Amino acid sequence: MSGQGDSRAGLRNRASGGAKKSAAPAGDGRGAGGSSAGVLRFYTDDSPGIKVGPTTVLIASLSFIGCVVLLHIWGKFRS
Amino acid sequence: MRFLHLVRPVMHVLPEVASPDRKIPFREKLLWTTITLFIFLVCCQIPLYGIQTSKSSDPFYWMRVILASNRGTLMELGISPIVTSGLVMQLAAGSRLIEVNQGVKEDRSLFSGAQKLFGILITIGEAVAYVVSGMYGDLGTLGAGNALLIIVQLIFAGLIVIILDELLQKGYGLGSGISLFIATNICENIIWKAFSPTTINTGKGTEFEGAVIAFFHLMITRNNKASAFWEALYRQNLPNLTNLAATLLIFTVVIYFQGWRVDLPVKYAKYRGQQGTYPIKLFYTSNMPIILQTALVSNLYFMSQLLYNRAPTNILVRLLGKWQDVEGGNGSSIPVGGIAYYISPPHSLAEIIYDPFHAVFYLIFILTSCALFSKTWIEVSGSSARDVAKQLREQQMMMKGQRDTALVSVLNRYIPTAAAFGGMCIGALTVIADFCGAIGTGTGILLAVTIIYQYYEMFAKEQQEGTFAFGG
Repeated sequence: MSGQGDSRAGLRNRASGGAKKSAAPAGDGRGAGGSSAGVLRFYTDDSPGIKVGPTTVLIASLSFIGCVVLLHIWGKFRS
Repeated sequence: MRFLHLVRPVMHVLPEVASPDRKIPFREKLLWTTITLFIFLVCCQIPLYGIQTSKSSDPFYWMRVILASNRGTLMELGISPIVTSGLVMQLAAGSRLIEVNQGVKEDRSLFSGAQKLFGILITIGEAVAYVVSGMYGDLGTLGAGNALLIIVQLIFAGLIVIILDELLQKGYGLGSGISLFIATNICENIIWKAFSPTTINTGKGTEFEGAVIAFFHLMITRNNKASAFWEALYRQNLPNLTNLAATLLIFTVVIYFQGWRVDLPVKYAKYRGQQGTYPIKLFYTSNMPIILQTALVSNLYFMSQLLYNRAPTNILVRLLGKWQDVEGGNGSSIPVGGIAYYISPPHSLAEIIYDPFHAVFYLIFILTSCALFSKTWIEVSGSSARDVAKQLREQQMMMKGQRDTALVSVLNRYIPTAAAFGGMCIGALTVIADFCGAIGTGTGILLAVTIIYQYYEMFAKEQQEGTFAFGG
């Protein structure tokens, strides 16, 4: 799987280096991005769901970590 | 009614990272990748709140490294839910158990939604199973409140891993969260084993855990320099310098083999004189064979261990595997008989001489399973000769000196061979690494190197694209 991604990139670069009109790569979802650990690359398309931005993800995970830390501190005081 | 359509109602409540509406520059990608890694590493250090003990028997100890999980911390589950759901769904789709038309956008999005949903369900299942099975202490002493709190923490941490992985894959970062976390965990392990400042009291006085630090410590403190040197090289109970050297050797060998490939000359049908090459790598399926092989073996171990604890006298159970506790190995047990024994690596040279059949069987098992998984994988993942030929045709490319129809047969000459032989090589390297005692197990090293190499390729590509964008 990673093989195709790389090779395609190689071809693309070569093509755009020579001719100005580079062949547009077929943009199907799979294997379009670079390589990753084999398969484990699935969320390439948008699907319906609760949309969150990257900042929201960052804040959510940091506040989760904060909550657990607070729990630990609270646990220390209680015992 | 198709299976995928069952997922649709639930999909609207699943969290989903919005795709970036612009091209994310390389620096910003690096930033997001670093932030993700930072969150992961912090989660690896914070212990779960409410656990009584994390010292009980650990049935997953051999998978910890490759699943990026840390005992007793928020990352207890690591990436195992996503990996499991990904493997199961992809294999189900590949074997046509679930019908997915990858050409239809709706199907693709439903499929990725189903994967995510399945991942979340596995997270919930694993979290409940861990707590109920008493991994953090007996349920009675833990109390209902604490048990519930642990489950909630595990589920939330699992959700964060899933969403961070999606964040990277959607194009905000580099690669995928899964590969990033595995590679980080293994590298951390290697660095720790090499430079750890922890001291351990052995029979012959205090020794440092880290191989390099221990070497200097031994050379300075011991009077007999030759025996100190010998000790640093070959000490058995702690990581030694030969382990470290083996690790570095395997790193180099894998990187060297990554470059092996066959370049097939191709040309554009439209523009005359435009030529290129289509490389077919020796490691065509990269690290997939060992991921699949480990998934198979660890599931088999888990079941065998579970059955053996329940019914140690049953003949079928004994045939599957006999288990024995290791002294001082904090509750971990090793297979000593049955199928589980024959597919586990021999631990020392003495063991090979004592039971050569075990060693030979293990070698044959690893090589064939890796080759077979590799060959199956190209069919499942859509990188078989037929699929590649289709892609090349879509890009208006032709094999040089060949008719258009001969494309598949030319590719067929190389791709299955590369897949099977590459899989075997990966398997052989794993065995060699394990035998040399490379730090972080052979599987771990192989995964780490292939992932790091992929990141290196990605960096090179990003850089190249960056310069092209500059030049116009």
